[in-house]
Amino acid sequence: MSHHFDTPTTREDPRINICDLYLFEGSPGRTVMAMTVNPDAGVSSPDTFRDEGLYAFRFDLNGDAKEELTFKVRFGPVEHLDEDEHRHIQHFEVRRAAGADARKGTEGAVLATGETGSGARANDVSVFAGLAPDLFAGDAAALRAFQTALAKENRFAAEVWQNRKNFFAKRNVTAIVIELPTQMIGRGRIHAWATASLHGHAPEVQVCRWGLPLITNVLIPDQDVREIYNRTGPADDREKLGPALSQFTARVSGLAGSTPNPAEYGRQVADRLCPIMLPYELGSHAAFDFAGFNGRAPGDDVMDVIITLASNVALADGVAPDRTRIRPDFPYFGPAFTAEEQAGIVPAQK
Amino acid sequence: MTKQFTTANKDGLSSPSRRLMLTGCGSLAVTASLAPWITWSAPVDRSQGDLFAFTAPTKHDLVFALALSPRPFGQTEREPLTVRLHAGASCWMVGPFALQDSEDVLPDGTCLFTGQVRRTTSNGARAMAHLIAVATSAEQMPPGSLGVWAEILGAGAVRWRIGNPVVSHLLADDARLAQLHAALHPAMDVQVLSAAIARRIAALPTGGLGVDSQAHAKRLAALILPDTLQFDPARPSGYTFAGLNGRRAEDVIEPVVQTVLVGAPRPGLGARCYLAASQFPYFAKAA
Repeated sequence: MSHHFDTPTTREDPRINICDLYLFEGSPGRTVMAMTVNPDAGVSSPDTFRDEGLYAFRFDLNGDAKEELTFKVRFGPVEHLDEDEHRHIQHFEVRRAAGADARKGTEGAVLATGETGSGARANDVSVFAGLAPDLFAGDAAALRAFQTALAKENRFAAEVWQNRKNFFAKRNVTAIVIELPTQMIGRGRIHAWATASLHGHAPEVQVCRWGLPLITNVLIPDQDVREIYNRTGPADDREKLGPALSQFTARVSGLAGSTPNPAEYGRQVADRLCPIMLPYELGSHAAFDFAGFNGRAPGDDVMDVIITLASNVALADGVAPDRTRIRPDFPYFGPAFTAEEQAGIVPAQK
Repeated sequence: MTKQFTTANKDGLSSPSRRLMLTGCGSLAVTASLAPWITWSAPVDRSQGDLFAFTAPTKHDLVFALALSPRPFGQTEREPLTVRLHAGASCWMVGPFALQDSEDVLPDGTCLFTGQVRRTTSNGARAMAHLIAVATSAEQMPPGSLGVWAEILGAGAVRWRIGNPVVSHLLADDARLAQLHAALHPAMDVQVLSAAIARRIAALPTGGLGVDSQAHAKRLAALILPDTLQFDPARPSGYTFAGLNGRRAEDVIEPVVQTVLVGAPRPGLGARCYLAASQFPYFAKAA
């Protein structure tokens, strides 16, 4: 989940709810970017992409917190495979846009086209879009209990993390995975984020953003501030989101008693996170962990990193991504969980 | 270039028996004449010393400090120590330093303190440490991140150095590696120490579920070498879970160090820290 069900718009349509972003080195000399949407796909959410949706991987190449390069993915209407209403297929198109086109619109050079489920390979670019296992792991019940204790009792409830149940086990998402030669992005240290926008008859409207894991679910409890985050880009994050991040983490660390100066700790958190983008040294071993943020590999246990950062207390939720569902090669997401494997899981609460 | 200054006692009177000499060590160095030694208390922690770099809370100053444990590195009470504090291209040399309280302001406004300060040990007990602290105007330092480290020179040309707390933690359990480390300049660290440090990290029991210990060790070794404490004065300072940017007196670093080392949260560790103060040296003095 890092961002499952986090805004009214995306709760209404999970197809444009970006759950997670991954960015890592694939085969040598190639970089993989992956975005997941549809939390609990096939159970609580559709297993399709929105045909008015514009799914974008955005890259800041020069440190100005604005995108100089964007990979845009669009989908066609849902068709039924073999006239089976339960088997969906959509055509997709991937474009690479630089300069002004990176910021807005659907323009860009076509890199690949294909169909969901089967993927595509063209111009040395591999693309997969379709149902996939959710590689995120986290104890959602513990997080809810933690937030409840915070909001209603003004209490730091470290004990809730003893629950140790991965809410996301055996659940699926829909993933868009692109692997391409690293030089098609650039070189050196870059910053990435993902957006989902609506782009149809009306002007383009961004409805969802993913910059770092669990920004909204853990660090921004205020719904209005979450909407600001989801509707904007990272360039103004320090001004628009920094105070909320600082205030929240100052409060949590203060209640935890983990620092004699909670306000200063809050400032340090805001400075660390803003602008909210995923940094990555292209071509390096990706890891989102306690030593630093450098891309994000599929098996990274990001929940522990963020709840620890929120409180300045070493916290662990006791669960980790299901690494048996990670492939060593493209598309890196293993097979989606089957209905038989999912027997007994409770639909995710929206 | 060498400059000489006479230090002032706490009452403001100069004392010819306690002279400071400023010499170049990159840019700046301070030496103090030997003064009566205090008696160290018994060792209470495995750490030999702690390095600090932070922005002063009340002034636009940068503070660089080294706190030494009683009888650091096996030195006896009467063996003189000389300390060189490095921050980027700047260096302050103190020594053979006086262990009694000494506080001076140099002509360029740089403040120097040597003396005992208070701290708490991992088990919460009160203890003392000897502190060498320098506060200098932020304008005197170049922009960007500074690599901060300290050299401690003991009797018989023995040398140690302290930089990144994660490296210090690793060295505390490996005398041979510590000896090799002590002989090097940080510029040689990557070439000479990377493989050994990575092996030390990989040998630790990982606390994470499914953490790839080899990949983690290799990446972490690359992050912590050269062995310096990284400090960007333009950003909030602190060695915390929010960022590893310098270190302040009150930072409780053990949980952070061990969590970074094993790649997974290590709760319930000790609360060893120093007591902060609002005025220079920004550490609570023993007296």
